[in-house]
Amino acid sequence: MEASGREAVFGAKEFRYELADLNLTRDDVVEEMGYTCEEGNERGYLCDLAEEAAELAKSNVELRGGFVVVEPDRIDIQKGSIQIDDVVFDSQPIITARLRRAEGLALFAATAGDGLEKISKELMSGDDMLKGYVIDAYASAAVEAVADKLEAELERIVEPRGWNVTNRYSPGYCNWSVAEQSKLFSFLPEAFLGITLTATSLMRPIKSVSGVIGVGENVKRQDYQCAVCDMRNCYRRRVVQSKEK
Amino acid sequence: MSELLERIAHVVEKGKVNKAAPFPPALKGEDGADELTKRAVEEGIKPQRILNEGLVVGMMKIGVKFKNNEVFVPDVLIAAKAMKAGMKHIEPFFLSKEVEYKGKIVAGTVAGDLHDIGKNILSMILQGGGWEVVDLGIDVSADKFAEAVAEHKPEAVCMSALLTTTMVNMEAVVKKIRETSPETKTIVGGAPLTADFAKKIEADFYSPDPQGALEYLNSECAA
Ligand code: B1M
Repeated sequence: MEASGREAVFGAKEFRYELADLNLTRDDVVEEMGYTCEEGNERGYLCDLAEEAAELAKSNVELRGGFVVVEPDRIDIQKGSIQIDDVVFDSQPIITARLRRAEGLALFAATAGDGLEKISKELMSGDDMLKGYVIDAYASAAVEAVADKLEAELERIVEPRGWNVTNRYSPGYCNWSVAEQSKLFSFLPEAFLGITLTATSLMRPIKSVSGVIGVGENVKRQDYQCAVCDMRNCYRRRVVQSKEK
Repeated sequence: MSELLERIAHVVEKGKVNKAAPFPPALKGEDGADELTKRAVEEGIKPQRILNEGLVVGMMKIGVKFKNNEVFVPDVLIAAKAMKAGMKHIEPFFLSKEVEYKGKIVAGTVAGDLHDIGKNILSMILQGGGWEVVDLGIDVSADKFAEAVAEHKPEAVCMSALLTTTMVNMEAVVKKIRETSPETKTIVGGAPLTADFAKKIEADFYSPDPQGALEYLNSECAA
């Protein structure tokens, strides 16, 4: 029983999705760009373009995600660092504070493939920058939606143990160096989801994300807060602020 | 300023490319930058005035609003498209020297970095401000920047990066430009950068937004 239970939770898991599986609307994409699709708004054309992007996405995304849940006895979380086996992640205090009660850690990656990236690049270097940009924003939103889906999968998998999940945290955020992506990928199967890392720790396809999620009885998810991040000149912060005005 | 030039500035700011363009809805059926610039040329307004007092003013307005978070990227993109539609009628006058740019810029995303949207927006805003931009694209090495500087003799080099792992490659570019073309200014920007970092690598200027880079160029480098 314990053995099969272990297997159900720990080790590598991979998922493939269709667009329809994602909780992604044109309104989400337009909001990411700073605007809304509310009735009577003068930028309705952005909503139309987001719909066009969604249509294009149907045959041009490859939505894949997966994670490896690492067992508690392989993990040591200290203030500012996380050790798994003999690999030490210098993940910095903001993140470790949020993971410190975790029992297991899920190392994850997700991608939307490179189809939309290619279309967007072509449009942007040609005569339709705006459409290219909307398609790019759509692809970014799609990969984030895949990561949301992964969080839900993880929640479902650990729930029978009475475990909860934290938010997801990525190398490159909250002072955790992007360069540590290579350490993270060392725990994922070879060529996981078809993602490769460049020498500068950039994932290809570009529309990919990676990170860690804590699991355990005493962890919880928190509302996403700009307050935990020290990036002042972030357009997301600006979008949030302009909505608050 | 003539009413027509004011109108050109307005349609550029609003992103009205031409009469047929569906957006912005508030200007539906009205002439856009294409028709109005053509008319200004036909009416004999000096092309340099059409550029400086019409097209550039429109782009400046949108650039300032973007800097102040009053508008976001899509609005800059449609304004740039409108500007381009107007520029089509001005371009022939560059050859005859009836119109001149404020100066020349070499721009690119640094080595190891494949992001181009931020750099493209920067280029559009600089062009919209009356500068000629030689865009080297993405993943541009220090040597390539230096070669472009030797070839084009720009007033400044503008570098962009989106990751901390790639922004460090700006240092080599700054150094190389210092050695090979000390009079060329180096300007850096991109999401992970800070003024401290720019100071550390001895870049001449850091701006979190393209408008800041443009203002620096206008005040420090314009002929
Ligand atoms: C010369 O003078 C100048 C002056 C101004 C200049 C200039 C030069 N150059 C640029 N500017 C300025 O003007 C431009 C116009 O306003 C701006 O250009 P930008 O290119 O910055 O802006 C674009 C027009 C729009 N902006 C963007 O497209 C980027 C927006 C943000 C939110 C962002 C997005 C959308 C995404 N991302 Co990510 N992403 C972030 C970004 C945070 C942010 N708020 O900016 C950033 C860039 N990402 C980051 C990270 C870490 C990552 N991302 C990742 C993934 C993603 C998505 C896929 C979800 C998505 C798309 C990414 C893409 N490249 O296509 C990962 C990497 C992906 C990969 N392929 O390797 C990952 C590594 C996270 C992970 N581990 O999964 C951070 C990098 C910081 C760092 N430590 O290096 C980041 C700053 C977020 C943060 N808050 O920390 C200004 O910077």
